[in-house]
Parts: sequence; structure tokens; C-alpha cells
Amino acid sequence: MTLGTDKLVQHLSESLPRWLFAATAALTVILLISIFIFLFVTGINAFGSIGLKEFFWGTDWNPASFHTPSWGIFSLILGSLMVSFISLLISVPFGLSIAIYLAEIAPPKTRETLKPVIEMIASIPSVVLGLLGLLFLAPITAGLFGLSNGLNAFTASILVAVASLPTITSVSEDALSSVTYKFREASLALGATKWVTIKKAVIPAAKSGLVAAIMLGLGRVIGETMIVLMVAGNSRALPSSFLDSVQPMTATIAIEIKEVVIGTLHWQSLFAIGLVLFTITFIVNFLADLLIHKK
Amino acid sequence: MDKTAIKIENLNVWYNGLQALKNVDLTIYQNQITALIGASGSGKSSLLRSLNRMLDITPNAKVDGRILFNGENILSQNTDVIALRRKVGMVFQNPTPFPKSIFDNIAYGLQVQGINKKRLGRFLGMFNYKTNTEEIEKSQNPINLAVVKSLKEAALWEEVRDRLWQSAFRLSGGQQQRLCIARAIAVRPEILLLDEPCSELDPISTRKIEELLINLKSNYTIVIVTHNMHQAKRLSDYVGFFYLGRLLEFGRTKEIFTNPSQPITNEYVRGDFG
Amino acid sequence: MKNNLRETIYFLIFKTSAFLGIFILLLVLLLLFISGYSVIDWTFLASGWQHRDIARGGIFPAILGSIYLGIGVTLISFSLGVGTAVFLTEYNKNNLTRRIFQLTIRNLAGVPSVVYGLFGLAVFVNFFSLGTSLLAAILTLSIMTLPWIITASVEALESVPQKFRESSLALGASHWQTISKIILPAAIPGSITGGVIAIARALGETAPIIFVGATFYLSNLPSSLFDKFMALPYHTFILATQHSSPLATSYAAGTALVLILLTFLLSLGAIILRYYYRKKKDW
Repeated sequence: MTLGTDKLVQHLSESLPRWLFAATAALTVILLISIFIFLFVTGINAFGSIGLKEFFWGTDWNPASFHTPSWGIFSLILGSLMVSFISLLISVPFGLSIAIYLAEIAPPKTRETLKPVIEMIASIPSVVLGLLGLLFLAPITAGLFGLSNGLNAFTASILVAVASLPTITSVSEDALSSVTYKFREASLALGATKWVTIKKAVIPAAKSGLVAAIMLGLGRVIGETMIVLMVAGNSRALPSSFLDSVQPMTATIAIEIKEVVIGTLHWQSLFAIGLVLFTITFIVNFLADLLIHKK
Repeated sequence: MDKTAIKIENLNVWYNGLQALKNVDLTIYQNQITALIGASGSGKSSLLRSLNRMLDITPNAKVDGRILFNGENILSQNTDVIALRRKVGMVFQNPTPFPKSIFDNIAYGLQVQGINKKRLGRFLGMFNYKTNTEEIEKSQNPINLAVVKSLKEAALWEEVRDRLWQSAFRLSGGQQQRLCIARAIAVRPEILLLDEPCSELDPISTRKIEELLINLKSNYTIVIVTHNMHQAKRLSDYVGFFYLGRLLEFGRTKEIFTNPSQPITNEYVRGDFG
Repeated sequence: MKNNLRETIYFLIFKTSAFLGIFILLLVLLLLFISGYSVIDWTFLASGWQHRDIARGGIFPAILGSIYLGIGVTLISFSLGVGTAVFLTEYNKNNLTRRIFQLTIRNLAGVPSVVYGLFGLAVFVNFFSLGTSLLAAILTLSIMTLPWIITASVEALESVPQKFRESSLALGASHWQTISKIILPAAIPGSITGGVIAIARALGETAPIIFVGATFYLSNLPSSLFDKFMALPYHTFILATQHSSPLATSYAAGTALVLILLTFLLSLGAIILRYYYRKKKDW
């Protein structure tokens, strides 16, 4: 039973798969890390050349201007925030309600059929939502508020809310379902009604998961590109109301990247915006992750 | 005089720094059933698992000492652990059939040794073409032979002969455990280790397995860890009593149960603790 | 009594929300169908794109482009993703490595798709000089899909009970034999169902492919990996926003309809498969 020559073959047939899998994992890590590195390296240059104050607080974004290019992304950030705010205002209560229904009220059969249906909403490509916004929602908004067209932050927010609904719903539902059965039993045994149990026992217990759901929803809405590109109006002027056209950060990148020359400051500044987006979403996801997995 | 199958010398086992087995010297005799008894945590399972180097995959387990089997120390670095495990088989506490058919479960041990169905059989197997039972019984194919033989030895053949291709999970708990035994003996080990094999089974299944083990004794050396004193008394030829990590007493079953030399042993076998 | 009324009202609100959700899904499908069904016929699906007179042409190149993308992304992201997952669960002993990996991967899943597009542009199109091409787009979308596939595969692998591994090793199987004969076969179905949903989403993405190779003005079908290509989402986008023909909107809707059918079929298929697989699983 000691090592011999045919043991060498056996040894190889063990270490070969091992090395193969390790190499695959290493490749994956390298790829994923390099996303950040590329963004960082290219974007940092822009920060250096433009200056952080001008970049973040300047309200004028006009990099293609011949004489005096300006690099302030404040109106872009504001655009992103405005869309996100209204979207969450709609989708958080909506998503939470659905989650409560699924986790606490719905009979098992209904729950089993409804959950996948809500999940399917996430499979709607955002370009499709954008198209429907152009065709149907924008005219409605225009008519409702007496505008020339309905391409503004408000219209976009409604569609983004739909896009983010599945995320908020499923994370909330997970959080509520994982509140242990004993909790509810105890509350009901004390004579509390079902609603009171949900309101005072289950929801507080699921609090961190619910907050995580909102954060993940935020990450989702800030990162939405196609809907805002098609429906938000794409005006770079500083918005003053939700009915103004806006150009969030994501749309800016998508519009301008095709016309920009590699290596120019304009190119680098788009990467800088990408870096800002990456950082925001990464932090939001990271915190949400901690909340979900804290025990 | 009974022949020695395994000689354990000065065995020590630690988990995460805590010592679970202390200076154990023990002899396992060939073609005998040796029972290891003692309270939970007394070290009996640790001893069992060091006999087939399963402690290798337990995180943070450290083993020291010598275990002599077929003239070699199996705890040495040079030991071919895979070949060892083909000679020393193990059945676990809860039945663990693989998510495969009954036939494929038994055949697994042979397949990993490289004994495979002839190419045609494997090819047809991909399309779920299953040979019927009569053909299998008459077949000279090494895998078919081994499967039939093991199932017969494990007293399971009659119960499963008509459903060899069904999932092993459709069997009852007791049948699954006998399947695991059949699976273990299909590779023709010399030693069979069983770690509380009946603790999750009903009395009837337990009885069937105990009868099975007594019949297997003539072809295999059996070491069984058990919590059940009566089982140990019924089944075994030799008994080792473990207490707080030490082998307190070892000897022929009859003597240990009627006239143990240690007072603690006496208390345990009478059921005063454990 | 007051409490009961309150409860009833609240529960009604919740129930309505849920069914409103379904309603929205149906509404989307309905509106899309109304806007686009009129242009769908065999010509639409099977002919090449006629730029000047779009009524004479069809979206076949876009359909083909999306299919090519789908195949490429599946091949790359599954091999990298499942391989990484196997390493993490079966070979890696270091707990810290594993936690860092899982944290990074979960968070990368939340990064906006346009950022992946930027990355694809910088790395594949420029740095590796692949140019705007099918290959660059496949690689970009694969990286975007990787975190999902890894997560689904790790989950599937971890759900295989430890006792299978123990029993296999005790029978004298090697580590690799255990992985290839017992663990992977048990985990693959779960990994596939999770992965297919991710691939369906990747097929619907526009932003990442806008700048790495998707185009609108192609006269021939892509013949190599280095060609530009057309794709359904991008095609929809351009028709909806930048085309001057009066028919553009209905053609956009028609294209969108084909796209959503494709992604829905895949997602629905995966969900149904997942349902049956869970029912059938016997451990």
C-alpha cells in the first residue's frame, strides 16, 4: 500500500483537476478585480485634472464645448437622485405590501404561483419598459400636467419603480419568511390578532432584512440606464422640479461614450462617473449584505 | 488463538487541541465482531475513524500513534489511503445512499476502482437502457456479479430484485442501511467498520441487521460502535469499553459483561450511566 | 371590532398590491402586443434588415445576433462560473478566502450594467484590441453574468449533503472521483436553473453592448467573432429613439415583442425546471 509508479498517475489525476479549478477561480478573481482597477486608474486621472470640487459641485456638464468645456456632474447626480427618490417612494411601499401578502397572508398555493410571477417582472428587459414609457406613459404624463412631452424625471421614475419592484419584494419576502415560526406562535397565543402580530412582532424582527431590501432597491434604481436614457429627457440643465427633463449619470455615460475619443479628458471623465456609480452601488450592496447576514 | 487483524498501539487523537483519545492499545481479531462501547464523547467513534483514515478529512483533527494492518503502519505518510479504504470499509450512522439507483449505488465502489461495464453497457446506460433482472443474475460481467453477490450477502436481494433501477431513496430506512452495508462489502474489504448503524432504525430492521452481521462474520472482520449495550452483548465476541477517552477495559464479551475487572465498567454495563 | 376592521382593510391593501403586481406584468405584455403584433410576420422574422425601407426587411440579423450572444455567454460564464464555484466549495480550505470571494461576488452582482459596458470597452475593445466585435460583447456580458452563475452554483454545491462525500471517500474513491461522480451531478441541475435566468437577463441588456459591438447598420450577417453584430435590445432602442421612418415605432414594438418572448421563455422555463427539480430531489 505504499507509493509506487502507478501511484504517480493517480496523483496526477488528482492534482490536475485541482489546478484546473484553482486556475479558473484565479482568472475570475483577476477579471473581477480588474473592473475596479480599470475604472479607478482611468477615472482618477480625471479627478486629478478636473479637481474634485469642480467635478462634484459644478452644475455645468458640457465636456464637448469647444471653447470652455465644463466638468461639473452635480446636475447629473441630482438627476440620478431625483429619479431614485420617486422610484423608491413608489416601489418600497408597493414591494413591502406584496412581500407581506406573500409571506404572511397568502395561502401556500397562491404564494407558490405568485412568487414566480413577480420574479418574471425582473426578466422584462429595461429597453422594453423604456419603449412602453415612450409610447404610452409619456403622453399620459404630458396630458396630465400640460407639458409638451412627458419625458422627465417623473415619468422615468414610475418605470424604474416597476423595474426595481421584484428586487425589493423578494428580499423583503425572504426577510419576513425567515422570522421564526415560534415568534408568531407566541404572539398569537397571547391573543394578538394576525395583523398586530405582523406589525409588532414580525416586522420589527425582520427589520434588518427589510432595510437591506430598500438598500438593494436603491442600488438597482441608481444603476438603471435604458429607461432613463429613453424617457427622462436628457437635459443637462440643473433640474428644478420633478417634471423637468434630467440626465442621470448612467444615461450620460451611455450617450457620450460613443462619441468620445479614447484617452481624452472627456473619456477619462466618463470613467470617473462610472467610478462614482460603482462606488455607490458597491457600498450600498455591501451594507445590505451585512444587514442580511448578520445574526 | 484468534488471529490479529489490526493492532493499535498508543493511539492519541486531538480535535482543536482537545484530546479525545488517550494512549489506546487495542487488538482487533480476525473474523470476530468487536464492539466498542461507552458513553457519548468517550472516543469510540474517533477510534473507528482512525482505522480508515477518515479523520484526514475532519478539520483540525490530529492523530498520533501506530495502527498496524497487514504488516504496515497505516498512519504513516506513505500510506495509500485510497487503497486502504478499499480494504477497510465503513457504514455510517444514518443511512446514506447516493442519489442513484439501487444498482448504481452498489456498483459505485467498483466503478471508482476502474472496473467498469463493457463499453456497450455504459453507452446503453446513457439512454437509460437497463438490463432486466434475469440477465443480470446470469451475467458474467464483473460488476453484475459483484452487485448480485453483495445484495445476496446483505440479505437484500429478494426485496430489491425487481426494482434495481429505482432510486435508492425509495427504500425504507432499514433497507437503505442494508444497502449501505451491501455497498461497502461489494468491494470485498477485509474489515468492516460500523458506526452505530442501527441507532436510527426500528427494532425489526435492527434485528435484521444484527443477523446480517453475524452471518458476515465468517468472511469479514467487523468492528462496531454501539450505544446499545444489549446489542453489544448479543452480537459481539470482543468488547472494548471506553471512558473519557481511554480504553478502560477490553476482553471477551462474556467476561466483560459478567465479570468486568473495573468497577466503572460494571456500572456502565448495568446501565447506571451513559 | 375596530381592530378587525383595521386588519381587514390592511389585508385588503396587501392583497390588492400583490394582484396589482401581476396586473402590471400582464399590462406590459398586453401593451407590447398591441403595439407590435401588426408587424410580425414571416418576413419580419426571417429577412435581413433593410435600412431605407424598413417595411421590406426583417429583424433576422438581430435575432441571430442575440442567439450568438446567448451561446457565447453561456459557454464562457458557465465554464468560468461553475469552475470557480467548485474551487470555492470543494478545494478551498481557507475560510477567509472564501468569505472575501463571496462578499465580492455578491456585491459585483449589483453593479450597474453600463459600468460593465465601460469596462468591456476599456479592456476588451481597446486593451486587448479586439475592436468593437461580437467577441468583445460576449466577453463583456459574460463578466456581467459571472457573479450570478457563481452564486447559483455555490448554493447548489453547498446544498449537497456532506454525508455523500463521506460515504464516497469511505468506499475508496478519490476526491476528484467524488466530485465528478457524486457532487457535480447532484449540483448541476440547481446550477443550471439559476444560471439560465441570469443568461436570460443578459440577453435583454442594452447598455453593455451599445459600446462594444452592437450596431444598427449591418448589411451582412456576422461571419466571424470579430465582426460587428446586431442584437434585439439595441435594435429596439435605435428604432424607438433614432429612426426617422413613421413605421419605426411599430417596428420597435415588434422587435421588443420578439425580445421579451425570448427572455420570458428562457426565464419561465428555468423557473418551471427549478420547481420540478425541487419536487424530485430526494435529499
